[in-house]
Amino acid sequence: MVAYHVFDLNPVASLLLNLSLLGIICWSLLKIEKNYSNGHKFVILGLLALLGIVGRILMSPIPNVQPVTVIVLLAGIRMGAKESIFLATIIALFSNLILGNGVWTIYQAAAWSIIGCSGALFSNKLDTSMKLILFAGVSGVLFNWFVSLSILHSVGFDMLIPYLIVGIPYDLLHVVGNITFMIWLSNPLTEIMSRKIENNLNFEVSEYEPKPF
Amino acid sequence: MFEKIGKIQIISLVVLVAVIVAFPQINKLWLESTEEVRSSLITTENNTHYGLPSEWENKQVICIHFPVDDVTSNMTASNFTEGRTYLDMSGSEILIDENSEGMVNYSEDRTTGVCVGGFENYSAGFNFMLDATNVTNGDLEVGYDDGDWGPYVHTIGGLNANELTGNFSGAYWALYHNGAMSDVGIGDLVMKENSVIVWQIATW
Repeated sequence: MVAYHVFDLNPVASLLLNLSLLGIICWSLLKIEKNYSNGHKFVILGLLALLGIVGRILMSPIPNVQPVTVIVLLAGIRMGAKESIFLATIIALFSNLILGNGVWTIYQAAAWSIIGCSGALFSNKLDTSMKLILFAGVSGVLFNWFVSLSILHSVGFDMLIPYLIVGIPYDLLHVVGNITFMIWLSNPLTEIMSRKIENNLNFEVSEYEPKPF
Repeated sequence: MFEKIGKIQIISLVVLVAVIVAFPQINKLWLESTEEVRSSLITTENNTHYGLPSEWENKQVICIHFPVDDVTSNMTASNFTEGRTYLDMSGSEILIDENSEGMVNYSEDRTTGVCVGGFENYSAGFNFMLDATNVTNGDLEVGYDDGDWGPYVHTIGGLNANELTGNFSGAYWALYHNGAMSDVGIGDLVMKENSVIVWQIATW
């Protein structure tokens, strides 16, 4: 038997494969959302979590270039702090099931939550696209530095600053990646996140009242 | 949704791709240019200069560690088989206050030995080794064979690794450069300005 699935892809080819998968997933998810979503928050949160998980896993060949920071930041600004904490934690956990789980997962979840919460806190002030782009860039550096604190579990405090210095090119990747994702995703995600509930599903209101025994 | 793909979208994408493509180069340049700053910030045993005299900071040092159990009576380096001795470029001893901060406790298997340091501007590892061991007037004489892959060091200070016997198949002088096992032999080793070279007995 010939094993059709066993062949090695070079890194560029596998990255292109990942990007096309990501493109198909994003395109179809956004289409589905447009046609079927009634704008209920749970549907939108699930969709954003999926986008974050899939985006982070498929973009993982390029270090630090991933849409999660921008997704949680926009979720914090447009939806609220609690929603961004949910997204941050779910995305960190589920993407790390593939990328590798460890003590850093809690730091990543916390760092993305902090970014989302500060987005929620400053949502009134982040009113121009320029401010959004700047905030996305700064949060890339802050995220990396916060997650770097996790090395203190294994090495002494004096290693932290040299470790951060080594990481500065990687911080640059995160900043440029965030800025690009913010420029591309800010409008479509804002549209999805700010969608009002169109059809009230009447979960709570019920005409029927059970008779008392 | 993506109705308006304007100039700024395209520019951001181009910049991102450019940064990703240039990243390996940027990273390499950055690591090289920050190496000295980074190593000077580390104060624990992760710093290769930790426990050495502070005047040797960012200078070149060679250390030779003698295994305690295998010290032989006919060793010419028998002056250095207790504790750790520090010699400057002229061969005179540098005394380190054992209570001072930064004095490292070399327990493990590197208890005894000698370090010669304070050198600058050496680039060839083997030249440096011969010059540095020479300050002891023969106590640390280096014995080596010229092989196809450059000099092979078998004896330092009268301790011939080939003659060691014990609970192992064989022993050799192992070369460490800045804390890591050297990829190349001493003949091909290119020194940095902060190089700490360590020779110690390893067995297989």
